[in-house]
Amino acid sequence: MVQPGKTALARAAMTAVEPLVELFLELGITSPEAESLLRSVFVHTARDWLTRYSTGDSEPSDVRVSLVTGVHRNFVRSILAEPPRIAAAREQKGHRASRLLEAWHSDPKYLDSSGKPRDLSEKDQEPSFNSLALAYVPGVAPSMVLGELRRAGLVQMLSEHRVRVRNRSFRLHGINAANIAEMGNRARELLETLTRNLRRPDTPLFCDSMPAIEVDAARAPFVRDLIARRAGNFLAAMEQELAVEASGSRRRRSSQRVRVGLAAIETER
Amino acid sequence: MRATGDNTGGARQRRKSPAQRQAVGSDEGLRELLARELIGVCMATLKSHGLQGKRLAQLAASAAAEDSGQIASTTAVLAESQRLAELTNKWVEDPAYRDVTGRPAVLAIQERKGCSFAALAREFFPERTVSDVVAVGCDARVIERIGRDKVALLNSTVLFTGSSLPILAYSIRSVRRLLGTADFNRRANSAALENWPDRTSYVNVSNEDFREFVRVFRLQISELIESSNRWLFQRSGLSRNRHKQKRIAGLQVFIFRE
Repeated sequence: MVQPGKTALARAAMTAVEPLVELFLELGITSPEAESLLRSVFVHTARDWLTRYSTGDSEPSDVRVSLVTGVHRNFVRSILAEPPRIAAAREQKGHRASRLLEAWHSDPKYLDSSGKPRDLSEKDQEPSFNSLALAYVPGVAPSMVLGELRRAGLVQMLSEHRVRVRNRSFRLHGINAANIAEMGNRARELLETLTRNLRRPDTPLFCDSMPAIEVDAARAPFVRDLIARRAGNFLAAMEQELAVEASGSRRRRSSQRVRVGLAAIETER
Repeated sequence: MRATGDNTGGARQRRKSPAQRQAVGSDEGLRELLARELIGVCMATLKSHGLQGKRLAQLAASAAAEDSGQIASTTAVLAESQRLAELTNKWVEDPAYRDVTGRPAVLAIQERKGCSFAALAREFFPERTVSDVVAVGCDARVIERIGRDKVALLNSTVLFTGSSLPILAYSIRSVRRLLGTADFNRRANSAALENWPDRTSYVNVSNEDFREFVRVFRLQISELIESSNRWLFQRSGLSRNRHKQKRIAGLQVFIFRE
């Protein structure tokens, strides 16, 4: 039986937790991930709390932490063995919508004759976004999937209720931890290449650009779209070609390995 | 394995008959053997389209009596698709027909202020009604209807897949273009940059790898063709080139399997 005090407490906690949940949603953290993180923080905090209020100098035992948290002592031990984090088993390996995005780029039904993803009617005409969502994200209303993809900036709404896919993988747009980490990695890669080329001009890494052109601002969307498609296609082709080299290298395992990559960026002023 | 148009490296040597061995002894004899093989390849293809050997021999004799090399019937068969391709080209390349994202816009079928499909239909199919042109475009899977009164560009390529006669006509035009390039290259200076590029890559691969090869290179080929088309379209429309004499030129790419 739930004690009356707990009900009031749960209501108060809900008010406090709601903004945090919104932040988790913003960051793409799912409910199982958040629950796992909360459990981990709970156990760590319980240990600190018990230590603070214990009479002796020693840390509370796993059994004691288990008693106050309600988490089995075996789990307590493994949770306390590392800093608070989302348990690997609960960590979502990819957003559910990732399957849909991948299918939009690979299922022949949703491709044009050149193998590119088609713009789809939201629901009026087949092949539609609705049929794609029902096939690849079953159990969720297509309108909700569309809303989620729009929020993440992964699809673009066109006139006549048509939808265009903008990315092959699920990644939330905007300022968030994953994107800031990505920005840091990109900046580091570019700076490492530029620095290396300054230091070792005899063995430079490829770093080149075309002369910038000036276009009418009204034509900029066309140029951006063109650059995105051509560069994306070029990178995909390089990935395919280098995959052969990588698989050959895996067979001839040597102690010295290097990570080779290629990035393309568009500039605009 | 890579090869140029004048080097068929990697071809497997077959055992030659005594007549072939004798013929190979002279350039003239070898040329006749090659001519026979070219005719044989064409005959085999035509048989696969349902033509019988005897009738083919009659047609070959009547074709041999002429030496114009014209392909008027082919041009007639492909006329409609050619015009559809030109319509598509304008839709894709003319900035007036693009939406705010830079891609071909969804167009109102009937005449409206600004761009409409009717304007395109009138320019490229002046003798047809707009609804006829919409039907032609939908059949060729180039356009799709959006609701009752709008159309969107579905594919920027006119596809003949599954239609024997247009495919045959398209093949004839392709063969003629290929032979035209070969003819130019045999007359060109031996310096590599004097000829027109004609390159081939080929390797023995499994069915599975072949399917993957098609998947990977479909997009690459489309991008190359789109890029070349844009270059030619833009260059042809420049004011400095408007009144110059022009001939059709282009790039054709296809995947093959022997």
